Amino acid sequence: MKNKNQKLFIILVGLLTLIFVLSPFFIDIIWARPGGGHSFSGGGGGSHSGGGGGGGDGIGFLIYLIFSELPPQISIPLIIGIIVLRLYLQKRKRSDNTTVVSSPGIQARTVRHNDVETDIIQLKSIDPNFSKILFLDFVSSIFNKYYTWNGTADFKNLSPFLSTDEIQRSANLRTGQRITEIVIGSMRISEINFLQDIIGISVDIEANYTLDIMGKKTRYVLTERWYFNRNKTILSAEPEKMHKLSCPNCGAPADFTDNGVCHSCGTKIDLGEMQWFVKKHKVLSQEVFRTKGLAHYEPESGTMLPTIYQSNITTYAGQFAQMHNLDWNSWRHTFGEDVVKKFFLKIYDAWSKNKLDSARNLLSDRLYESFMFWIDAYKSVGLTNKLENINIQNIQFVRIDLDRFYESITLRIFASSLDYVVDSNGNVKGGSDRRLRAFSEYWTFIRRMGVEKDEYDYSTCPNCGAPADKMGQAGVCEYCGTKISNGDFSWVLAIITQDEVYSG
Amino acid sequence: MKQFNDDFKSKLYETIEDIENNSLVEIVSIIKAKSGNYREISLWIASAAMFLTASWLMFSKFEVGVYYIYLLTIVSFIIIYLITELFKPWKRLFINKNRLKRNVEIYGRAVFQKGGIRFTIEGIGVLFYVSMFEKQVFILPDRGAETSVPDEEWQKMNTDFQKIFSEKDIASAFIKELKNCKNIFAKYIPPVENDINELPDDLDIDF
Ligand SMILES: [Zn+2]
Ligand SMILES: [Zn+2]
Repeated sequence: MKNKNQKLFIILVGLLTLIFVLSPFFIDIIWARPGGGHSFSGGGGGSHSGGGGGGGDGIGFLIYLIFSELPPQISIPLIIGIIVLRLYLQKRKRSDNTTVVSSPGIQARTVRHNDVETDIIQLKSIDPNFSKILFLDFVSSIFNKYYTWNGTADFKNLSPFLSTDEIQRSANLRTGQRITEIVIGSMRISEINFLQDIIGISVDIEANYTLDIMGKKTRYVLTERWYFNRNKTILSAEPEKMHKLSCPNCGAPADFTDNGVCHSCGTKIDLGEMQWFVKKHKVLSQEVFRTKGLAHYEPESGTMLPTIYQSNITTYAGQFAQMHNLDWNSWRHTFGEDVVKKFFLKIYDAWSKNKLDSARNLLSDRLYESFMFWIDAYKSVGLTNKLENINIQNIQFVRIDLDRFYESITLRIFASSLDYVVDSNGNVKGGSDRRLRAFSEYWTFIRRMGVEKDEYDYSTCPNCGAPADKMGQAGVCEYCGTKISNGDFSWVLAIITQDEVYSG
Repeated sequence: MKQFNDDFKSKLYETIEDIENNSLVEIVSIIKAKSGNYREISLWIASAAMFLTASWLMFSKFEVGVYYIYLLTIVSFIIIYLITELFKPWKRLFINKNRLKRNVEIYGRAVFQKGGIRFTIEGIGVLFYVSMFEKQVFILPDRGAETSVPDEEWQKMNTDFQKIFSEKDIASAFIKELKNCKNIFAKYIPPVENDINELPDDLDIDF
């Protein structure tokens, strides 16, 4: 009898310990990573449930002990107690972390996005030269130069593109401060305003840069909203004047006086007369970037979301087919097989090696820079994100955009792969090298209007056919000297959007 | 909290005055005994003690009278509850580190908001919030100050200030660390001539 009592005592103490371990004040609330490292780039992202979880085996063993060692009048109430406790803990975990914020959900985002789409169509009817791709290219140049030139003599070269308020504000940078290594992660037109004589476009830019203060560097992740204005009656400039910051009159590289007079052609460029200018800009959020969370995986949250299709995609598909004189259905099949799949495998293969050289000819400048930023971040802490056993299950054509200068095609790609982070010794630091993770991403390909080349040998330059291994940051072929990354010769991948943030 | 007497207060005032004379920064420092009362921790521990006492009395080889079981169980609850409430290091042992940190952060941010530290024109207010029970110093710079000083310096400041809790005289250690900040602020947020102090000298914040 004494023996039996001791056992019961041990079981009860064990139970108490378990209650303690599982109790609310030992379970830490899971805090999501702010800014979500991965969602910034579109690379990686992954599973791994955050914390909790354990304890299950302990309970099973305990129930077994209670059943085998104790008489039913004790064991049954005990087991009921344990089950109730578990239910309570599970419910608590689910409901206590719910927060409802005043940000638009996926539905509201789509509605807002459609409004912008309608506005773009209206804008194109006034200005048939307007190209979203080129406009965002221009925005990214302005953004880049604004920060690169801030506090230097070169800043005056922006004078035809900045309102006087903006020029004054830029003087805020204290002496000894410089901004370098600017990387733009994503850009989105958030609003278009048609006024009496003016058109205004606001763009949300997710970016990061290094702030160098007297030699000490801090990397920031930020979201900014930039507001551009222009006279309503003019046409957008041709691609050559949009890709790079240049004189809207003669096209020479931006070189202006304080008053906006071009050194090449001597023309004074008045704000908004020939090109967009920055009316104002605002920082929406700014945080220090930390490499700490790089091996951390969040559960995939958007794979199950319904696909968002452009509202009249079949019309655009018809236009596209007519323009290129092809049969849409057979073309989309070959495009999926010969372009999308090969891009996907080649790009993620390069990503897994922490080396993008072999895929440089497939990427737009911005995407390349964004990828490089993450690769450098992984490298700086001795990590590599590996994607292996990639298998593409499905490709959906969701969007086709055609303008005077560019065509772009967006697809949703469903795939699965092993996705994990290893350190330099090959130890897995995050994710799983055994369990496949299913995910989906929206990929946008662009190509210059009038170009017919779909597939080519992706290890070569699409213009001259020479090896494409040394195209570097600028995306210029070393052999023929032409820029490949604008999509002037064949498709390039311009944007990757995660399924949980894609809105159309 | 005895260390934070009038002598400390005047030293603190002088130190902050000195920093602000050499920098545009506006410093506010608040010291609180605790940022939460965590009373349920004591209840948990007392319940556990009660449970253990009851189990032990029930199954021990001694013969114990029913009245004793009743009495000792209740007494053990009360005693352990009071001990836990009184003896802080013991109580702290049972509270998750992240929870302590979080509470200090929440309280610190509330102080920042309610104390109006965000009202400086250039956003150069900096709050040093010390919470004694949690043994945490929470440094909260406004945006202008935050981006004027490299992150590396903030990190170092955080680590340095955390060390004051291993000193015997926490109050003096705090003053000492604050003095060390003078050069950093002077370097990165240099003073502007002909400027006024934008925040009141004595803040009293209650919730
Ligand atoms: Zn010119
Ligand atoms: Zn070439």
